[in-house]
Amino acid sequence: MYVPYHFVGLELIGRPSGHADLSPDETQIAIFNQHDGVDIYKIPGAIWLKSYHFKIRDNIILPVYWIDEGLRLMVGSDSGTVCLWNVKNDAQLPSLLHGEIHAMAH
Amino acid sequence: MKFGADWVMVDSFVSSSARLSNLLRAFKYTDQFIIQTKIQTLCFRAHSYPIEHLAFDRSGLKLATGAQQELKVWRYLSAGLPSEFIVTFENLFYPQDRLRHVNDLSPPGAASLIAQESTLVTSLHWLHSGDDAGCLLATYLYQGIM
Repeated sequence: MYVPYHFVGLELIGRPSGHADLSPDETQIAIFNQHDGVDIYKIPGAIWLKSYHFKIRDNIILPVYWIDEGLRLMVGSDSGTVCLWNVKNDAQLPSLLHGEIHAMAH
Repeated sequence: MKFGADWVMVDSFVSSSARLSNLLRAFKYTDQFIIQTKIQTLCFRAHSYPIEHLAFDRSGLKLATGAQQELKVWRYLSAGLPSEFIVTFENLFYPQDRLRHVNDLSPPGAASLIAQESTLVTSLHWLHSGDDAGCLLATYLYQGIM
């Protein structure tokens, strides 16, 4: 039987790999680690580059996405906020709140 | 029922010969005329678990689906028909576009960050550039990046 796809390699990283997103230029992958935030790895090779931390209360898989053509990283949280980082200077941007006031506006 | 920018779905029904085949009829209103289009969905059981991850490659021809430990690759087959055509009996019961199952990709081996933990696909991405163009990148919760 012809098998067009085959196993290339497995990179075991030291933390759980929750939801992940590939950067638009396909050189980095952001992975939610379920422990203290998001880890950025260079691919191929799964070489750790840096991490962005935020408080995690519940052990659930949170979404992470590259936005603005890879300039910023957007991560959901278990506290009702959306966390944003500028990947170029590693600055954390003001979180997007999901409080009751905002909810009532809809 | 309205969906999309200017499309209106008029009705839908399930064919009697294939219970999982669902036909939708839609109309698009333009300035000069009305275009009728058939949107047909053919459902089939692809995985034994809930499908949590879907990733088309950039060409739109390859689809990867992930459901817990199951990872499958599909190829989109199109008959190349125009999107607008008259609904006929043949078109109703014999869909032209379909997905063909290409491969089951085995989950990672015994290597695991935490022993005895289940294998779960957490993301799927197709690579389109560099030496790894055409490769499928998959992350597993406790097994890393494959």
